Amino acid sequence: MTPTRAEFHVLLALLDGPRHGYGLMQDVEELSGGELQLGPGTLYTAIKRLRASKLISETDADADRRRCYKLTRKGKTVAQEEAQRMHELVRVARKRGLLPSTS
Amino acid sequence: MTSDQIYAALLRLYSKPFRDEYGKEMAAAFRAMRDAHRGHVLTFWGFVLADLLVSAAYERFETMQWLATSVIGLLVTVGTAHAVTWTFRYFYHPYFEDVSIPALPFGVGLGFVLGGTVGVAQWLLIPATVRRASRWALASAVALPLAILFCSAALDRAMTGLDPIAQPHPAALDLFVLGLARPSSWADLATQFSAMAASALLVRALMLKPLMERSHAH
Repeated sequence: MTPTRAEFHVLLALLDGPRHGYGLMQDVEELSGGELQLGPGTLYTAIKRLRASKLISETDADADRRRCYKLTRKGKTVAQEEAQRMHELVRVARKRGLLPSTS
Repeated sequence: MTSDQIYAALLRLYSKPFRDEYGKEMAAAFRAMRDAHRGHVLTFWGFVLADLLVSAAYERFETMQWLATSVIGLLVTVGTAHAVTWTFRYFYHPYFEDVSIPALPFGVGLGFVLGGTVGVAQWLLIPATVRRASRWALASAVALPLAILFCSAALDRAMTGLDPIAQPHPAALDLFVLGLARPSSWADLATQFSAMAASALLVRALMLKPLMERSHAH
């Protein structure tokens, strides 16, 4: 599956280890430089889809007994593929002059 | 009414299974977000409501996708039946009156035609259905024979196209049995149904790869 923007950010946030829902919301906002803010609705519909696709799974609750989620092996592979796809797009955009060249 | 109570009431916009699974966590995340918010209260509620309405609509739509798929299957079937009617009327010749296609090839042919048209309709209208595609393929395969059986209006027209001097039949099943492939027994009818479902599934399986590629392109 191709993750949506919100789903991809959730996968990225989970690369650092398991998180609970609100922790994910904070991480996503930080990772995107404040550009992407997930509300509870968007976050948990993304979590539902990611769990259904077996890209993330539930893990042990934290000290405050909040449900936590972790990345599965399949989730990491999908995140890598998506990152590679974006990398390729950026390479093409540079080649076509849409983005400044790095060299 | 406190903000917690308002949010708890708004959670009813989601389906019950979703609320049962994530409702408590969402309410906890809402409380944490509210406590951390430093801006104007209207800005906060604007964000919360937009998030809630959009995601609830999407979540509802996702749970209803199988229904949407079947409805599209039905609509496409009716459209196809009308197109077939028009074609038969346009090219009608008395020579065709005695032509009877055996149940198996008729079922396979009809399954391919309808499976293809439904597949294209889904591809154009609801690309999100590529998620759990096998479920949609099954829904299509089931919806097609059912649609044929129960769309009596479309069938009636199709039968008139096949045989313009035929009297209208009262029951959809009679129309199906007598008109479409003229199967002589329930075994023939079952064969035709199975062939339609199998060929429709095959069409969907063949279309799955381009569908998935399309999905990756998004």
